[in-house]
Amino acid sequence: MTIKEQVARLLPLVEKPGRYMGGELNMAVKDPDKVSTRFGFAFPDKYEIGMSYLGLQIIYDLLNAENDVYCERIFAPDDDMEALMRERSLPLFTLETCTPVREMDILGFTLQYELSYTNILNMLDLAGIPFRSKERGEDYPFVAAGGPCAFNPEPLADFVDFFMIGDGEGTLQEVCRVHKEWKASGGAKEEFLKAVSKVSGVYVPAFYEARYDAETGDFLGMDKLWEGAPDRVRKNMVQDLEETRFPVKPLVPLIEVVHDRSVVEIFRGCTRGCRFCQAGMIYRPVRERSKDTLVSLVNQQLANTGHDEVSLLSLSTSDHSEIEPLVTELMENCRKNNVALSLPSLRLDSFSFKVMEEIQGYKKTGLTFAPEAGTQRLRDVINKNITEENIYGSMKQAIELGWTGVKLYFMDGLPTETDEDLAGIAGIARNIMELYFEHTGVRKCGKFTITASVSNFVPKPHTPFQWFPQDRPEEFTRKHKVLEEKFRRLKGCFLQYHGSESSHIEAVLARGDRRASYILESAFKAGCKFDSWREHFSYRRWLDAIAESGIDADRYAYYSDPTAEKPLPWDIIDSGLSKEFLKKEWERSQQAATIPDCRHNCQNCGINRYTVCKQAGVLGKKKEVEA
Amino acid sequence: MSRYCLIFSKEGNLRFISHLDLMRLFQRAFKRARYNIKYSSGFNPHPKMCFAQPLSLGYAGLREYLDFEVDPAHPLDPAAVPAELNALLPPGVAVSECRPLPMREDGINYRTLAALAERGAYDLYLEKPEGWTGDVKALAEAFLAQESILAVKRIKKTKKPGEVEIRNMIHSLEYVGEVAEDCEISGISVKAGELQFKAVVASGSGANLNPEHLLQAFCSFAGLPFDKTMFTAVRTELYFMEEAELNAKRAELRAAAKEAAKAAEKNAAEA
Repeated sequence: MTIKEQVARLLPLVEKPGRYMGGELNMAVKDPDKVSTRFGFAFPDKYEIGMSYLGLQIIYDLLNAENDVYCERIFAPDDDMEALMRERSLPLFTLETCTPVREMDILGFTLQYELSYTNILNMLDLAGIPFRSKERGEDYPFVAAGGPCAFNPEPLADFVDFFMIGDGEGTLQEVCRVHKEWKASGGAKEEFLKAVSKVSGVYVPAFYEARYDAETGDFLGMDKLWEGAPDRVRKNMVQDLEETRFPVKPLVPLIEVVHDRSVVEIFRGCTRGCRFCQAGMIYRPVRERSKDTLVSLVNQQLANTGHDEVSLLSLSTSDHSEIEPLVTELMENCRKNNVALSLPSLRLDSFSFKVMEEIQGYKKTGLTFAPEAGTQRLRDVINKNITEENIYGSMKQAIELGWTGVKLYFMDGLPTETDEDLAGIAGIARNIMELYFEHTGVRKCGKFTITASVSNFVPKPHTPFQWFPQDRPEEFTRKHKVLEEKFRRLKGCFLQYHGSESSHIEAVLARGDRRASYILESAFKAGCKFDSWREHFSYRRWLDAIAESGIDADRYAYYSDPTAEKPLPWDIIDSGLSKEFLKKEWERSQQAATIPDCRHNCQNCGINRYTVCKQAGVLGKKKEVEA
Repeated sequence: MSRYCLIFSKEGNLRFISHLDLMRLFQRAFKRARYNIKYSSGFNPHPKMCFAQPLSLGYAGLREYLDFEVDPAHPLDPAAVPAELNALLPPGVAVSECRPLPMREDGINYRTLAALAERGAYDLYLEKPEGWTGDVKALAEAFLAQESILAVKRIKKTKKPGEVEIRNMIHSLEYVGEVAEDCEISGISVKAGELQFKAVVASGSGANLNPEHLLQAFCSFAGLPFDKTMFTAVRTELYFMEEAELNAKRAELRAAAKEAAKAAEKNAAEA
């Protein structure tokens, strides 16, 4: 029986068979024998999650645009499917052609969140591919990885043959070109790795060896094992997004996925400079698509998909330089065609309210706002440049416009945080409720609700907080209790917080070095997978796995270097930011000193060494012109 | 003219997408085809379209029906619709026909196909245990000759399995013979030796019988093993009542209900 027939036999037995059958609209159909590179794009989570991820559509589109490449998709099967596959020895397969993953030339995982790492091991296991690169002979595919978490590749360095750091556009096509040449030459795997290490953004971990202090076990640095390898790997950067390919015929899933809609990326990067935010640091500089390009992309996508919703994607939608005319024009088109426009990550200014009024009409649901910290002092520490005036001003406006609730996002465990800052979170909720009472004239909350969602801060590489230790789970739990106490007496205000256990594991993996691979391997053996799913995550299993591995995980989660001098495992990756900038930002945070948005004044983050940042000081310049 | 009916097939892997998924699939296909589907009014407008009768997940359908309404200012050319849509639909769903649905003279729409659907014809393929040699034809006849046929199914109200009477929902069951050789039917692989039946059962908003329950009852009657992975179902046609027939039927039901209410009242008064 072919794999295809075997899969067909399983479909009636599993939940949501649509996850495993491919055949979606706009799926790439190619003759696998007529390409030189079969690229398996693996998303280490369920189909519904992976298919909602824009990066998949971008990569799928740009790779399949190459005549010599066939990009096929692979997702993590859910429990029921996995059990059947194991029972019947059915290997992990691609959705496009039901080809065993082992037969791919390159198997590329996207690293979106650390808690998906165990799924990578599980998927390799299901595919019959040994975990460690050095255990994979010449016949196995190259295992590659990319995405935001690749900015600290070290926990996965022993499993992955090469990482692609930074923007995928450019690197991916070049990697496939190098692969085609190598394949034609009939060379050994190592020759490919040598050649591909010259491609922009590519990191081949096997060419480096980590050095540790024999006594303390501290990470001391990286030694090159092959002279030809670069000293540091600089992330790949698309210079001009306007000229960069963007999918206009995205895959349209047959079954319902998390986000069932068209998406256009309006810009990449963020100028706000929040110190906790890894995305804001590693995606610099800001590169925009113009209004006209975006309108055309939206129209093409809608025409090719028939979607009834389109979403504008970026880290801070309101910051697009043409946001008002863009949204006005799109809104008009959408209304005519019964298409809903969705604008996540909007700042709550008067324009946003006007837009939301028009989009939502009577249905005023889902107003969200992210002060991130409870006091001005702590907001200054994290450089979240929002004042009390901003918060209450926009909330007052929301109440006047008839919103019946707001969801506020905060973090706990931030550097320098005290219980006063936690009290500030409840204080903000209370003050917003007071504004509501003032508006209605009675002290009754009625339908109006305030939800404060508090997540546990995880220090991330390449941010000014990379030198700061995470709170211990007991401390998070204590802080949650403090918050609960403060919220108990607040009518109409609700508190949500995340479990401290999974945040701890996330921190271990976020700042791990190469030795963390043993933790991952033990965790896989202990049965850890789908760790970002609450019903799957087991802290006990993780703690046992850490103990079993013999690796000191505290070294990663609670890593602390107030001097900001010691070498870091991810120093091998050049994110474009200078260490001086991050250090200065770390010091400024300790003084609760803020820096402005880079559009007002360039802060010399270092990205200008490699590219031209078109956003530097643009708002300042505009003012001068106006004057 | 602004109301139309599509006749389409749902085969191969696409039989594993749900009723709602299929609804979305057609909504998007209509949008891609730039048909001006009429939307309901209200706070939450939704496109005016409706399947005659949902098809169970996993079953193929050869002639399924979907009725929909477009903006009268932008009528469609029914002859062109199948080709237009087939170019836009994913493999597994194909439109064979588009018919205009007449509007009543007073401007009110006739009843939807969903209200008029009454019976469904199925081709059924049942796995036969190795070495089993029963006279299927005689068994099928004896099965149908019963006055009462009970099937075990989940009762909606209690959410527990219970026995239901299905005899009056089976219009016919005919044994065709054994499948001669391994083959593909509607993109589903069927093995040589499987028992092939043709059945017509109630498929409508009033009464509805999933052929799974028919086969389950038959197997228990014939002493054959049964579970839901052991058969393949292809719905080959749907039959509708005439509007007058439906109206008469409804009037009859209403009269019976009135009668029953009266009788109950009388009983209560007497007591």
